[in-house]
Amino acid sequence: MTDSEIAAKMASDPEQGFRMLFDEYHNYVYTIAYNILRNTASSRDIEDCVVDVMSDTMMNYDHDNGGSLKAYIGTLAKHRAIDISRAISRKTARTLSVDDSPINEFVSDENVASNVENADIARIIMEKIEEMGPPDSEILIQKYFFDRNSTAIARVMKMNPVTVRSRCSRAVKRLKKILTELDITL
Amino acid sequence: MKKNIELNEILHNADSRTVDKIAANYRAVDEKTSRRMYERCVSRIKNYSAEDGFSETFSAEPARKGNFFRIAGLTAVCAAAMGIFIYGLTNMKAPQPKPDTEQPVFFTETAVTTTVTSTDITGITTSKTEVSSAAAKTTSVSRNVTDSVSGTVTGTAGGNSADATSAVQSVRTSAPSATQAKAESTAAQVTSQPENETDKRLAEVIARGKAASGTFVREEKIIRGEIPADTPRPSVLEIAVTAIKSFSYDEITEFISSAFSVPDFADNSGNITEYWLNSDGTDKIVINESEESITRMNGSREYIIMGSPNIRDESVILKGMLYNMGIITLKKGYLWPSLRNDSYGYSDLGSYKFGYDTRMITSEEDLEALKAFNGATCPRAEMVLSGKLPESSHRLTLYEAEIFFSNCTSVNELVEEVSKVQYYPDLAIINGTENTIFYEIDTDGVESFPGYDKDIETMQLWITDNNTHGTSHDVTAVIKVNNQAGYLSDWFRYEHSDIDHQLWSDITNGLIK
Repeated sequence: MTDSEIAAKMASDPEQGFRMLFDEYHNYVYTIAYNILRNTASSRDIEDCVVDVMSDTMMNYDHDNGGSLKAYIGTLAKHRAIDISRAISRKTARTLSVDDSPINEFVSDENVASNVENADIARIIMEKIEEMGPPDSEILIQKYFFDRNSTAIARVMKMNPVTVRSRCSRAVKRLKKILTELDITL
Repeated sequence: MKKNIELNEILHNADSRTVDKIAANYRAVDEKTSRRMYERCVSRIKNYSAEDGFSETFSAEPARKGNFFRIAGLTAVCAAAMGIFIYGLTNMKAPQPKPDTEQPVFFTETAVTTTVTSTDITGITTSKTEVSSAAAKTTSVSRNVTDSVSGTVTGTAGGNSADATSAVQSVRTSAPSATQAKAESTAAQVTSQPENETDKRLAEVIARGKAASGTFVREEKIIRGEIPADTPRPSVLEIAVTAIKSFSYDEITEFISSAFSVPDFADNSGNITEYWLNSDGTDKIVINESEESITRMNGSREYIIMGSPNIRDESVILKGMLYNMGIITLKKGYLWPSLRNDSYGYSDLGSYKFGYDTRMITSEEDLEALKAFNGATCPRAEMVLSGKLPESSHRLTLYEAEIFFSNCTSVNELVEEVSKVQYYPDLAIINGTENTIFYEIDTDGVESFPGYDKDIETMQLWITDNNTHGTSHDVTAVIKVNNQAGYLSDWFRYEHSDIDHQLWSDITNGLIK
């Protein structure tokens, strides 16, 4: 299903068009939102974010001049998730203790060099995970990116939790072995 | 680049390219969540459309504006006062209208479902009474309701008729919103739906039904106002439980038809009736009267709840049920083609009778289902559900099982050793002719065992007593190895051993709980 097909359907038959849009992109939006909101928001907030983004796209996307639908929806998802994250942080900030040192607010907690290295490692790991093929690759992503337990993974992947557990354990071992050859120790 | 890393930490800190890749290629939510989000999106879009495109709005000014708006408002009030003064002068004898200080009421377009003509006085009167009682909890709304219904009648005379009953529904559903809106705005909106809009919707549904050689019964009835839009839909679990209990086509169909109260779709032949489990019919129960079959169709997947053109058998029904309920682990690709093939004997199905995973049990209902299926009890799950045993308590490992098999000289000894590491078996089947207990085995490290197969998915230690009538027992212990499709092979078989009668009864009857 191409973006232009979805956009055309959204214009000609909004109901069907939205179904197509949703089917194609809700996982995409959820993942982006989850990645940004994982530490600050509840799963309900993440769902809210997806609902906002999907319905806003349906209502506001300009079919003729909106550019790439994927890019549009991805950007919208990021911005909306950041907004939600900020809103939650603001609420949380109000409950901070007065003893908290304000000077810390101005110190970046990012270690640029380390982040770059981590991003490189993440890319390598991602490649290796993908090479393992489904369902192992997906199980690993579900477990280590989405932080799900085997029952939740089984629900998403429509598999048996026991199967998920045993496959996951074996997949991690395989991955460890592959990564050890690349000097990366899990 | 030698580095010790945590897999989740590294993936959480991945750059946007990696996240994009994950986002594009992997499922993020389960079907239920996905459906829930879709429904919320649709409802949000509909609300937006209703507010944006199909509303007639009478006065809508927020209470708080800037200075400019204050001045403009003051000017408007002066002009209105002047207008009223002039109007008063010209209509000295006319009755004075009551000042309108009501709080806002929102009539949403979606809630207006039927058209009632202005001559249907009884209907309107009844509606007014209902509205008053429905809105009695919110006094700020009650008077508005009466005004709104009156407004509706006036609207009818002017060519725009709206349903009084629908208005009642609108007020009921919008009452909390109206109360909330009171604090935020002084606007009052009244929306009415043109008569031809309802007719148009009805015509569209009828046409859609014709194209599908049938009638979308529920949708038509909702549009006609014969049933409320939120007429309940039972869950598939309720249907499954009924099916397990009854085993009868008539009983199940009766339950389904009364639980739903109205079908979503009925075909012209009268054979096919559909009851949708969700609002868009992607998950539905289909009853075929001529074949006496009941099937659940969920997207591209089909589960036979009862009957099929070829097979009528209790185990099939129950398998379908348990599969639906997530208790059976057999894969669709394996299970259903075999059920549809006459040459595939029932004895083959029988060999998979216990091919489900007890660790999937999450509720008392699951336990009941297993019991209904074959009289199986699940001691470990029961203990976990009752909170007496932590879910994470130790489970028999393959290494332990191997040691027990090589060191023990009888099944009796084996059972004693096993019960020391995992007392409660996952399953106990006591049916008088063949008693069995089994333990799901933690397969960690299975790769290092001889006979390892990459397809191995689960392993269970089965202990079966083949002679339950006498005092002596003929017990077999074996580790059954399963792949995705089911049974694969046996490991560490131990046959024809006796067992301590008391120990066996204690475990199978769960007396030591």
